[in-house]
Amino acid sequence: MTPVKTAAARTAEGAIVFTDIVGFTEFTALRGDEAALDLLSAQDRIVQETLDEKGRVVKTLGDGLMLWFSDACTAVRTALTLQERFEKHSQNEDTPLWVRMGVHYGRPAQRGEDLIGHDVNVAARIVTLAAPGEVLISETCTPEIGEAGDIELEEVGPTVMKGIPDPISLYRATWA
Amino acid sequence: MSTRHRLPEGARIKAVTASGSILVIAEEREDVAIEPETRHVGLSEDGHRLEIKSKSSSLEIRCPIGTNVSAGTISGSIELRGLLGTVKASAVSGGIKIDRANGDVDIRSVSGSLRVESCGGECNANTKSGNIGLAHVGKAARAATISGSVQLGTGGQSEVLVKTISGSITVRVPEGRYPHVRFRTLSGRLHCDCPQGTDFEISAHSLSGSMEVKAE
Repeated sequence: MTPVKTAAARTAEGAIVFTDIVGFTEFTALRGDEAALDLLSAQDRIVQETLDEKGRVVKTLGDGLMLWFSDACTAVRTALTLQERFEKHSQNEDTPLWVRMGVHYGRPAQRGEDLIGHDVNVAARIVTLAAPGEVLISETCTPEIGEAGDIELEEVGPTVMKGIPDPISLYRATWA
Repeated sequence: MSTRHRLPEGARIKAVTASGSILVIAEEREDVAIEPETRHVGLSEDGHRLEIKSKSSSLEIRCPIGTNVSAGTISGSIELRGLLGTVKASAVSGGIKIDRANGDVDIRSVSGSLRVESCGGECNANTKSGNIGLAHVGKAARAATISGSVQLGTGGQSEVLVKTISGSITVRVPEGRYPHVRFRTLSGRLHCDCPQGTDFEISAHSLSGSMEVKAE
C-alpha cells in the first residue's frame, strides 16, 4: 500500500490558553438558561475588552475558550488580568464567574483559523488541574516568563496527564 | 528488591509514574530506598532533585524524615506517611493522602479525594469531584472542589479560602480564636457556632453547598 503524501503542516509558535468556567453546569441547573447566557456574555465581554492585538480567541468550547498569543509573557499577563476582572465581576454582580486557566507554549499545526496538535492537547489537560481563579502554566513558558519581573511562578509539582507520554512540570503564575 | 540512593542535603524527591501508585514513607534513615528496583533514577543536573520515573509499576520510596517530596501519577493514588517537608503532588483519577508535612502542601487531582492530617505551612488542595479533608493546617489554607465536600481544621492564624459548587463546607476553629466569616452562596446556608472577631479571615463561596463553622 502506497502511503498518502500530505503537505507539510503549517505551524505557528506561540502560547495556547484554555479557560473553563468552574461549575457552569451546576450554575445553569440552579439559575436557568437565561442566567447562564448572561454569565457567558459577561465572560465574552471581559475577554474582548482585555485582549489586545497580540492575542485572539481561536474558538469557544461550551463555557470555555481557547486563546492564542504570539508570546508567553503576553499570554500569562493577559490570563492574570482576566482573572482579576472575572473576580471583580463575581463580587460586583454576585454571579460566580469562577474561571480556571491553563497555558502552554508550543508549535501547534494550523487548520484554517483553528489550531490542533500535541501542544493544544497539553494546554487542554493543564486547565483540568487548575483551581478556580488560578493560572497554571507549563515549563515551556518559563524561560520567557523567568525574565519578566512582574510575574511570579511557584512550581506545583510534576504532572502526568492522560495521553501525554512525558511528565510535565506545572507552575502557578501570580503577579509579583 | 530495592535500590538505595544518596539524597544530597536539601534535595527533594521527584517521583512520577503513569499508571501505578506512589507510596512514600519518611523514617529514621539517611538514604533513599526505592522498590521495585528501577533504572530510571538519577539526580537532576543541578543536583537539587532525586528523580524517579516509572511507566506502569507502583513505587514504594523510603526516605529520611523531613524530606521535600513532589509526586505525580495518572490513575494511581499517592500516599505519604510519616513526617515530610514540603509536598507537591498531583493525580488524575487517584486520591492523595498525606500524613504530616511541616512545610507547604500543594495537592491536586481531577477526580480523586484529597486528605491531609497535618500541614505546618500553607496548604492548597484542589479537586474536581473528590472530597477534601484537611484535618489541621497551620497557616493559610485554600481548598476548591466542584461536587465534593470540604472539611478543614484551621490553626486560626491565617486566612482560609474555600470554594465549592455543590459540596458542603465545614471549618473547625481552635478555641480562643475568633474569625471573621464571609460566606457567599446562591442557595446554601451558613451555620456558625463560633464567636466571630478579627483574628483571621474565613472566606467561603459555594453555589448550593452549605457551610458550618465550628468552635473546637
